[in-house]
Amino acid sequence: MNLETLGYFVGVPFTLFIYSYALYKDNPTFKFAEYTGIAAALANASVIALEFTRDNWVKPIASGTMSPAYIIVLGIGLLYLARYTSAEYRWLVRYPVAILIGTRIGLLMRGSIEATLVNRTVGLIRNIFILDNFIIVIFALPVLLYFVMSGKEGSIQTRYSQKLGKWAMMISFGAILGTRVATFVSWCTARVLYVLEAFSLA
Amino acid sequence: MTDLDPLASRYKLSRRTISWVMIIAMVILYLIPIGLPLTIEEYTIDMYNYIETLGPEDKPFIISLDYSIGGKGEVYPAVLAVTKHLLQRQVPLVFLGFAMPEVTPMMTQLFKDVQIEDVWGYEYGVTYVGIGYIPGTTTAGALLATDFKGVVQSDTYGNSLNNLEISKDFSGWQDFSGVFAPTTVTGGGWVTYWNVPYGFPVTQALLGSGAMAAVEQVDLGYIVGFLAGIRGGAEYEKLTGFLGKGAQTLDVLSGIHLLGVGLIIVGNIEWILERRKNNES
Repeated sequence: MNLETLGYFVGVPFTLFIYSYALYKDNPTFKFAEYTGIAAALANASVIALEFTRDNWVKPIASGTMSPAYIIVLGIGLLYLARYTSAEYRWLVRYPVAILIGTRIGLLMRGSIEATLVNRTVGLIRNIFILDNFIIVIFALPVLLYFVMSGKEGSIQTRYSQKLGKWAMMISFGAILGTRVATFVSWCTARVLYVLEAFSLA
Repeated sequence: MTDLDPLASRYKLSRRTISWVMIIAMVILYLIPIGLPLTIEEYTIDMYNYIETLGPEDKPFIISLDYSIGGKGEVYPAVLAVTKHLLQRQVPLVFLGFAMPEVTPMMTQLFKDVQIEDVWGYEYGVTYVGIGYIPGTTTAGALLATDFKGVVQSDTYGNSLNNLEISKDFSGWQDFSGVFAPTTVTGGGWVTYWNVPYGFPVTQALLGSGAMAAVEQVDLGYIVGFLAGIRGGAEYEKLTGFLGKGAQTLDVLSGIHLLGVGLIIVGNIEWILERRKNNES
């Protein structure tokens, strides 16, 4: 028996267990498949993390090739374990979390502000007479007004602008939901194909 | 039907019935394809044309496998078609990923599925290298652009990148010709950290739900082209001639979407009738 066939022996029952929730109702086979999936993903992530720690920290320390800068980083990383110490030292965990989040936000800001705000706005203004961009402006302004400014009941802004803002949001949410459903259907078709392939039907 | 949906019993068409109808329809459509026509989007053509410009003399091209096992079904037809196209063009390839821990098994599966050495004559360490998973998510992705070997020193098999011909000179973004990033996460780091600061060419394969944002990114010049979901994969298969699961699944998807539209109409009619009945009573 090759690995692919063995995979079918595991994959097909698990696919059916998972879909039993939608096709029948919540049941022990669904729960078994759900928990096994979560456990397998966690086990995989743990092994990868341990391997990374071994290759990048333990081996260099053992061989004496570790850069001093890395030892400082290792010390900051170890502060994560403060979470499991007594309440007196538990606050130390905030340092690695703050450094990590701060670094990520800093890196993200560099590209994101330019990509998602500046360039998009400039591009939009430069090509305002393209239909797509015109629609974006027509819909974006009322949505901004809906959240940022409030108006007196009965005023023009309340009557027309907020209504248009609501419509814009509803259309947008509908489109997002529609594409999400399409994605889930797509995943489902892939699993159906997998089961059919297992029985040599497709 | 379930505790999660207490109102479902009010309607004749329950969620369970819809699920059964859709699954049965999928099976029928797989067994008896209806052969719906497929038009190719301009974004797919853009991507194809870009890859056609690459060749063996170019710098290594990155394939960043940032998709989960759950989303693999939707992006894998595109991954296979684009990888085969790159192999056909004999472009030097670097396989890596930093968004999902599953990268390494996905990568070895891809090597096997495209038969990278047997069919295309690639040589490990010379014309391709499998770096695999790089922990650190987008932070690692951002640092790769400026200090590649500061983030990763060895490939997935433990070989030092300094000892492999293809990777010995890797230092940052300037040592690569472009990236193909199939991803199931939103916002992937390639545009933010590689394209915006350095103008690095990015191509992507996304879930169908990511298509709307990607269209805007193409228009703004952040990505060269993209493939959205199975449809994008099927379009690329048609362009390259490497027919696979994309083309096979597309017929089913189109049929199911038609069925979905029908069910939405039925659901709305049911709701209108229900409301009219309540008004009358």
